[in-house]
Amino acid sequence: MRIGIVIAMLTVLIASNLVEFYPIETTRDPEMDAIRIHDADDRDLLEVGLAESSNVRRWFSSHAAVGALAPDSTILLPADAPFASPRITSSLYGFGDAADVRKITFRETYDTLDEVLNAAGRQALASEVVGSFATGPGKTRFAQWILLIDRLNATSTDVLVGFSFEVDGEVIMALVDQRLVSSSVGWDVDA
Amino acid sequence: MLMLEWLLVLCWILIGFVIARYVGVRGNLLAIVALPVGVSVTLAFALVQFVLPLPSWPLLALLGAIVVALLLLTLDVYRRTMSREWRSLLLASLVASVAVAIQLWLPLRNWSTDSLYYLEFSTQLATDNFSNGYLGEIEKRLLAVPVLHGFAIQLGVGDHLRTIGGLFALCILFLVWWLLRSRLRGSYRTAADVAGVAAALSLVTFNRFIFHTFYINSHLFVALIMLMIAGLLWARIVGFELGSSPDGLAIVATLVVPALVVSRAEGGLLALIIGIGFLTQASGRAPLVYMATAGASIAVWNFGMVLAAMSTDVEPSRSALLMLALGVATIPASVVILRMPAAWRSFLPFVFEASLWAFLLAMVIRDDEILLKSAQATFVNLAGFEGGWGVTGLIFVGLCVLAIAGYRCREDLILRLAVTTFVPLSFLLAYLREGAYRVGDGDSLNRMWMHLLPIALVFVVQRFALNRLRVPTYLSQKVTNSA
Repeated sequence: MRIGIVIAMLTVLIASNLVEFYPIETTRDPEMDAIRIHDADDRDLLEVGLAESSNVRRWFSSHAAVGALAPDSTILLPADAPFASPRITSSLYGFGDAADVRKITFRETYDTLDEVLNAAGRQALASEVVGSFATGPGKTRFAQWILLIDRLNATSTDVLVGFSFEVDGEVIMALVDQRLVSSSVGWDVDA
Repeated sequence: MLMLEWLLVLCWILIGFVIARYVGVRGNLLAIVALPVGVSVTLAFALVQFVLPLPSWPLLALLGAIVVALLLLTLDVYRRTMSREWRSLLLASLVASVAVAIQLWLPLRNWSTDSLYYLEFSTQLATDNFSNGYLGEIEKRLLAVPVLHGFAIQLGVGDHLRTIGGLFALCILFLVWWLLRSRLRGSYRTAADVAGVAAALSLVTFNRFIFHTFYINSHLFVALIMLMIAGLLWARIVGFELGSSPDGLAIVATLVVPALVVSRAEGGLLALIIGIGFLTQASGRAPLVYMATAGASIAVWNFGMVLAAMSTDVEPSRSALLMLALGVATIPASVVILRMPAAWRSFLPFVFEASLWAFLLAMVIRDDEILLKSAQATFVNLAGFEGGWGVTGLIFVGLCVLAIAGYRCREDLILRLAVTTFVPLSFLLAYLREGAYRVGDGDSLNRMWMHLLPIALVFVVQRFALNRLRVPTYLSQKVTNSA
């Protein structure tokens, strides 16, 4: 008798689950759908995420861009910048494919990107032919990011120098190929 | 390329088969636990790897597990104790192969931003680029999921394993069926099997169960390991035939404990909660070995965290220090508890549960906002159906409450503890993470229900099937008077 009631109870649960499955599926945030069939299964999840989710783009696009455009780079982050955090360092190693991430302290302060670029840098910033230039929205302690690389002379052992600029109260992270940085810009690598 | 993923799965099954068979597991149970045991032993090696100055490659952890399996296999052959358990290996391999093929053919994959954080660590582990600069994040994410998906990166089959979630889900379903069928078999014959199958079907039809099956996160794996530990120890305590010697059940449950510790931040606490039930109801060396393994795993992981912080001039987190102390204290505390008279020990679960509620109360007195917001959000997620569990979720909560309050039963203490401590522990975690739970199916607590669901289902079904409903005295008097 008792086992009959138990089996009946479980049958009700199964029926209830089956009836509710589709309504639950159609009223969710698509990110939380139980059944998400992907067209191209061979794609990496990062690639899928960047294509489908603005949230993922905000969190990871800067690091993924470094990984795609300048893998194996040494990345120098200004120690006092809000984005010089373990979270960013972690992503730069994970998705940015960085060879090394170090903290630096600039000997002077800079307010704009123009101030720190040399002539080649300004040309790269103006033309995508000579500079591989990527930008995007950020989330972890910076609102926007800019990646500026000397496309014509890029090697696998580039050095990217990080700059932090504040525009209209929002922090911009700029990662600039060292060859495009003015020789007057000096820094010390932190111990 | 994806052939490599299939071979990796078979390798885990073979490792788990050799180890579990060696300690006395047989038949269907052996087929069910082979994969999780293989994966868990690999994760135990990854834990050691994390603390020692070794490369962080996941394949190195697998190599450690293979060496252990080969040693045990050699001993088995030498002692000529190799018995006819190859049917279990064949069964597990066949089912897994079909499941892998289906999942590769039907590309289902669920992910959120959290999934990418796990994969970020997978990349670092696979490229041996794992540095100590990200303690806060790794303390939150832990090691299990990054190591598992790190295999995909190291084997060159993408940035994540595509089939492992479905395989873990199958293990949960088969284990739910096997536990219930074995427990109820003494009282009911065919109906025991029907109840077991119905329970597994009620689980797999939950929309959220399907979500977690394909979701790249740790929830489903935690659910599997918790069910394994609690289910096998429950069988050992009650003494029903599950397909293993009593020692075999305890050893397998103990072997997978390190995997639980490195799966979730609260994994160590979950292992200890189940361990308290085991300590209370079992004697001999087995509960001590279990608690020592749990304590050592917690201590090793948190020692690694503290060491990494100190080596980079970062102050170790308070939770790492507290958990390190807890891990170290677990071993002597277990010895003391085991030497207590049995009558004293029987109070231990109640003292422990009361302590959890007292801690929660203390937190609420300090700051009631987190609890109020969390309770409100949880209510909306369950009763307002925002969490995706539907009406069934609400019915199931009602059944759990009835099973807890309506029956008096001591032999399933280990299952009951896992269920009843979930509420205070979850809300305490909200204080530890310094943020209230929120409305929506992506909320942490809403996802953590998955950890509990399989155990709660087994708990409810066996209580209803084997025990008489306890009618309150005043009601039974009314019935008598009216008669």
